[in-house]
Amino acid sequence: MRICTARCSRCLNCVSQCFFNAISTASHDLVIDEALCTDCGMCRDSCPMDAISDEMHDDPVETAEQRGICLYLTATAGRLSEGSLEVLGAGLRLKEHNRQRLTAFLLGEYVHEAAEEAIRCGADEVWMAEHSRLTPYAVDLHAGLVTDWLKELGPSIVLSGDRSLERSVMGYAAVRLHTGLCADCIQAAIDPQHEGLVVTRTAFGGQLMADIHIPRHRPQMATLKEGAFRPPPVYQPSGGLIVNRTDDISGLNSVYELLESRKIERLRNDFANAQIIVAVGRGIGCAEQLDSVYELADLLDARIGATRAVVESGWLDVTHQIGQSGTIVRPQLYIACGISGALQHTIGMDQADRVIAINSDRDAPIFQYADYGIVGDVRQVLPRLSERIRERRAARSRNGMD
Amino acid sequence: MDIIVCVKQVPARQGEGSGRESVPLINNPNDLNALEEALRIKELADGSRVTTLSMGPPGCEGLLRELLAAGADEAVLLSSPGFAGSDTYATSKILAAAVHKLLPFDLILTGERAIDGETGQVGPGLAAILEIPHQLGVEQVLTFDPHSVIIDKVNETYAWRIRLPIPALLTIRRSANTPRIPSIRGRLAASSKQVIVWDQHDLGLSGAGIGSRESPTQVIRTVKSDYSYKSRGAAVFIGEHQLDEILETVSAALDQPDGRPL
Repeated sequence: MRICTARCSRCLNCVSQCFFNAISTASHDLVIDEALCTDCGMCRDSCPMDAISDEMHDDPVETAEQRGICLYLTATAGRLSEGSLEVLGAGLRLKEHNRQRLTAFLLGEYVHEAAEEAIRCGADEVWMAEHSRLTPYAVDLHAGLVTDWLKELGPSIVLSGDRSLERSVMGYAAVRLHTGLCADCIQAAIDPQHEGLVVTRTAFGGQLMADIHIPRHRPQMATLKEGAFRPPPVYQPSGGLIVNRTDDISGLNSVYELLESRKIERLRNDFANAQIIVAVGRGIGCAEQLDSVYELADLLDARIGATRAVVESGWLDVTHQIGQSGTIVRPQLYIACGISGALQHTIGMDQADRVIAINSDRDAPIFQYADYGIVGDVRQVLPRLSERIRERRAARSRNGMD
Repeated sequence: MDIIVCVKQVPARQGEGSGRESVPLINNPNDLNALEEALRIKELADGSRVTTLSMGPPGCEGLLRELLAAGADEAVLLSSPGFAGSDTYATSKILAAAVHKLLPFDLILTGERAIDGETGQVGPGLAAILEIPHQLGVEQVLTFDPHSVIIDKVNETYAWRIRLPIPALLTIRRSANTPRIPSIRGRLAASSKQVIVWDQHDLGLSGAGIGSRESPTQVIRTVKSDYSYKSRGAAVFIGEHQLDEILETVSAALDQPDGRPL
């Protein structure tokens, strides 16, 4: 809700009507406290001057000020995080369509090198705040600063990755800016028909794919599923500038107090550099059958992936999960063992260079995603496959000795 | 401690359409971890009160009774035709209006994600509207006093022990605990408890900014799972005797870093 002060007669009808005490009379101009306002509309309905409106309806969607793409990026060990590189890649591709200005936000304890990296990748501008108080658990400082900067820049599109801090910051900022946020998107494009950002995400365990847009609110905000977007293809320096906005946090302190910190093993299995992944579904029958999977994976120096069903059955831990609710992978070879091929899973493996699928059901959807299909019992096929690989190796090394 | 636990009702079987009416509903499993954490705190702090808060169709009362049977003191269902189709922002607004009616509170707990929408955004959104601190991915609430709590949380790289002021909102991980099964005594006790139902009017919401039409995000189209992104054609089916042939093909595509042949 917003009060048009030019129309307001200061009758205070709205103040008495407001259930949430959200309207302040402290200054001459009445002000609605966004933190308390629930947009219930009681004030609007009570105003004899029609001075109160739901800002959603009277703001033109795309004004001259509301332009540009903002990216909320993060750095790890001084470098842009992998997810942030993908966000930058997605932002650059959107920019190709509408030539909007691309501004990256980088906040953290040590980010200036990552800021330079973002410029080298093609960002037009980087707004940077580098301070020891901007720890990754200081969600409030990050969220507050990002929200203020977005208000200042008024961009049309805001993108970020999907990790814990980014989800906190984007969730907070979207509400403070009264706009929509699409989570975990696997595609993002400018759609001329809908004159804006159209994103694709899955829901209902990946059984449903939805194209979503934000028609009447700006900015259009989205978090991007890690692994679903390509990093910037080549360095394309734009001669961009780094704007140091560290002063913006002077006087601000986080409410979060760190008592202990410990680095943990990556919650996401290290699939990023995996050339071969052997992935298992419930079709392998039982957890004991994992032995033949381990055997093959050892032979191929492969990582082991799993479907959500396998993880939920407790056969493998969540770090192995591949798919919409797990990791998106791009190995050179993907061997799908006893995986039926639900969309929830195939989203995570569809970009593999080569796919071999083994399943006893000839009609399993996984075969639609595979280059080679083996209709058979995983329990028999996998040991055969391992055996053939050992034999080939033996033959090769014999030949090598000749 | 006064604790509000947000519990979503979601389709029991995944993949049977988005029409929630046609599929039986269950309480979102991860939200039950939040309830369990609330009940655990209640056992430690005398005089605590646990209220569950849900938004869904009127038929959900039976599921809310499960929450009462597990030990919640009160279950509130927000149900109104005008709420249907709300996106995460609109849902956060409706929940915030209900939280204002439930004041005061010390903690709001919920799961990290629902198994249907999987956005994980209502928690941060609700905290932003209420202007309270929030932390995602909480494993445990360790200690609490009238002004603060100490939590263990994890993100992708770190495990942290953090103190934060209350009231606050925390999302609880699935690995945090094992939700209890309601006892017979709990079920008997629940039968005398009421499920409170509030509609749009009870919450004083005009309809602006809520429901499917007024939600900022709009679904253009949905496609069921037969839709695929695949760039390759359907698989070439091969017999086991052709394994060598495949290995030859794929090994050519693989450049083993250590020079080992596939």
